[in-house]
Amino acid sequence: MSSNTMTLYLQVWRQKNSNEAGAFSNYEVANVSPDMSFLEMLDMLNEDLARQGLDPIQYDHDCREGICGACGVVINGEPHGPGKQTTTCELHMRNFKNGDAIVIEPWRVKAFAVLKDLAVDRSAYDKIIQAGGFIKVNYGNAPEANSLPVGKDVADLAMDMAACIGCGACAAACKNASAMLFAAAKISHLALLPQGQVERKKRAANMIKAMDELGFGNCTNQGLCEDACPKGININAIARLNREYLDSILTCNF
Amino acid sequence: MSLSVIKAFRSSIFKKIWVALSGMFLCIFLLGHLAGNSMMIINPEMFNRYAHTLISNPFIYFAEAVIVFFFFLHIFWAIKTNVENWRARPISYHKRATKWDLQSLASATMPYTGALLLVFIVKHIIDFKYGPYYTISYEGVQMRNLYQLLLEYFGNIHNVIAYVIAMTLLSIHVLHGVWSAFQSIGINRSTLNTTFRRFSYLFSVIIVISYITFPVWCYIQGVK
Repeated sequence: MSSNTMTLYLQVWRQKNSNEAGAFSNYEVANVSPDMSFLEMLDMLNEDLARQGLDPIQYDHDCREGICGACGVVINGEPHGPGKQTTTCELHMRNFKNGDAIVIEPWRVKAFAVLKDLAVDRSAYDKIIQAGGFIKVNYGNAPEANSLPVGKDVADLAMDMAACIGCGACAAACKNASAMLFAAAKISHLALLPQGQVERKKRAANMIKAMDELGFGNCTNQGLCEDACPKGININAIARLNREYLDSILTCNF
Repeated sequence: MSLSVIKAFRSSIFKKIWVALSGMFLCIFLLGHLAGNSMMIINPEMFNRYAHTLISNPFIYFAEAVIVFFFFLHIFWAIKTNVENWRARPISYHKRATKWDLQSLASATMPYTGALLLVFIVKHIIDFKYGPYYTISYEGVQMRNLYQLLLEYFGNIHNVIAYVIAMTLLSIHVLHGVWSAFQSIGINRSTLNTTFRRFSYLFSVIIVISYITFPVWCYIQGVK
């Protein structure tokens, strides 16, 4: 190990299952390389815990390259930690200093039950998608690229909205535990493109109805969600969602 | 209208639309009240006559009812939203990264500045509308001398300080409120966001400076 490795003092939320109350446990992790990712640091701690015959810390992860949306913990009060537009898996330990104390908590959102330790059940987001975040009509094969009736600016914006990976950081960051940025990104993405027009009028109404029933909070326009979003989705999307919803409720005739 | 539409009026999005629309109305009322108040600086007789015209007109009951209705709408939905929001996170974070810029602070403290403003408004109405009744006569028409009450009330430095604090809270409240209303009713977008932010700062500064002028001016009149 090189001389610039760090020793970190972790305070990690441990919880057996969704029914039992959790509590913080303290861990000291030595020999952390600044080149490690945050999850690699947790892996190292877990190996150590396993060697001691202790229960390793449970957390979600999959691709480890910031595109799947599986990982995500709250690090020192920030979902996905201090990096801008990074997921937890992409966060490098060089963002921390030797001797730092780090508090690690799960997403604290009523609609996301803690399954174990830092892993939460995010199927509430799937339920919002199931309520209308899809297209039912068949558009056939990919059309000739030069004949697409979509402007460059609109295509770019729709792509920005489609970048949402559904990680849950927006609801975790929101002081009201609201899923509004997630719903806004999904609704915007489909509303901006021709393929999304068929169900457009019903989509916002149905998805918001599902979101409200799942027990997420209400948006109060503070904007903590956009700061936490690993994909940099802007809260202008929420204004678009509000427009889509108004249109949906006031003019939909089916 | 189908039942689902009525239900939608209670959805998370309509909750903030109600707060936004009533808030916009209350902001317009603030400007009207400001215009009326400015007459005290121009001329005491003009101010008293303006107040008399307002009070003696039967239309005032309707106007008062409308204002109370919008206040009720604003407060009712704001409380409901906040209660639901607290319930949406039963276990709070042990550690929370805080943003300290003014807009964020204004936004995070909306329920508290709002509650304090409600206390202020109740006191404001008791102190003025239901306060001491002095009379004055202009060309044989007897009317309430509100100008004298103002000088007397703001002759007390404690009242001046309380008023200045209340107006500072109000400016913090509208700093978030004005921009937020444009966002909530869905007319905000990337090309207008900065404009709405600036407008909300401008509105907030205009409100705090102009409203603070009145008690300070009255206090100085008393000292003279």
